[in-house]
Amino acid sequence: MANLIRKSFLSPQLPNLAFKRFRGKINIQRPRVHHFERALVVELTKPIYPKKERLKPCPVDESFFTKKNKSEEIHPYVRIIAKEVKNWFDHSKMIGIVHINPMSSKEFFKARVAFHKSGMQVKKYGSAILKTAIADTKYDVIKELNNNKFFSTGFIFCTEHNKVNQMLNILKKTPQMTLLCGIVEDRLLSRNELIDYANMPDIQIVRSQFANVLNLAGSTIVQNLESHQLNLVNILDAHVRVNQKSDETKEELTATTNEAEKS
Amino acid sequence: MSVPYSGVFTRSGGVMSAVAKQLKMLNFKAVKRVTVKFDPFHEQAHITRDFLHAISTTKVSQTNPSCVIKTDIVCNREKPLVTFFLTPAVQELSKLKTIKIEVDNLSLLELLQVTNQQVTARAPKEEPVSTLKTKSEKKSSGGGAAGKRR
Repeated sequence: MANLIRKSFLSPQLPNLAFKRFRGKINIQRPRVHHFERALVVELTKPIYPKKERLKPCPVDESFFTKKNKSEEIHPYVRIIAKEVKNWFDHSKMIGIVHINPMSSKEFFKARVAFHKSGMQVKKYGSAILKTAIADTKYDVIKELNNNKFFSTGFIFCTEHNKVNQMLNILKKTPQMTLLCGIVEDRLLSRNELIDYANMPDIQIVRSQFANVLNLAGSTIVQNLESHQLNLVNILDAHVRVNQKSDETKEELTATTNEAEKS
Repeated sequence: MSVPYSGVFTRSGGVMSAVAKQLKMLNFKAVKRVTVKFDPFHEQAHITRDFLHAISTTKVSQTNPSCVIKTDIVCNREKPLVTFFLTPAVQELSKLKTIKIEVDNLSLLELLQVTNQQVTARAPKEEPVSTLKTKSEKKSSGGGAAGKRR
């Protein structure tokens, strides 16, 4: 019983409420205009920020187009490579300088292999490195050849001077490389001079020929000096021989006459 | 009174972009052989070498695969010279055998411009190639009466 009473009378009566807005949904995108006084307050209390400075269009920096006075300091890494380059120049007896037209790296590798097989090295250098390496040395002129924008200049180093012919042969097979000039035994040679150099016979043969020429000069002098005496001697010899012959005939004649008389 | 606007709206891309533009225009269809003659120690040699480098790229040589590029290296302080030997057909048309360009006093851009004016302009114009049509296209355009339809 008690249970029933509690259930029916003492249980709290919860009101069945559903909250609802007075005037429908709020329009967030276009909010209602405030009433005058509120609008006034909102307008008054708006913060005023200092004006942002707009970025000006990039000014044309003249120094960007003109060559800057770059710091003259050479990067230590460049200096190390330059030292190596100088070493290559100093210790190779033959240097070929070539103009390299665009070629695939595969072709370039093939050419490098061909050169390597005959003891030559193909190198390419940037102008900064080459400048630091060979400025104010005897190779200073070559700097001009590496003054490039598009093209590249290759250097073929060889420690032997008598491989010019081999170099020319390999260059014939790689038409992308054009020989400009070369240095053979510290002497700058043009392309034609290099070709002439390659066509020259072996130095031993030339030396023997030269020795022959020198000998020839000496022997001719001796011959010229001795010629008169020899001539005289020859004539005297001939004279003596003639005399001897005449004597012999005389003797023979006398002998025959004597024999005839005896008989 | 207002001053009428003159000038360009964009800044120019510089010399290199102008060179690239000229390079794209190069066409050696009218040329049989190109001879580039220069002294490597001449003041203008680097421009000639730039030019030689530019014209021996595959893109340019593909315009006329039969065109031969020869280099003639001399050692007598001669002015660099680029000679274009024209093909017989073009020779008849233009009544010219060769076109010689002296590189002395020219920059790379000017040299390329002159080449385009003189050489590329003489290239014979290509005839429009007849495009191949697929079967369905032929049918739709030509009435398609050939096939039997059921």
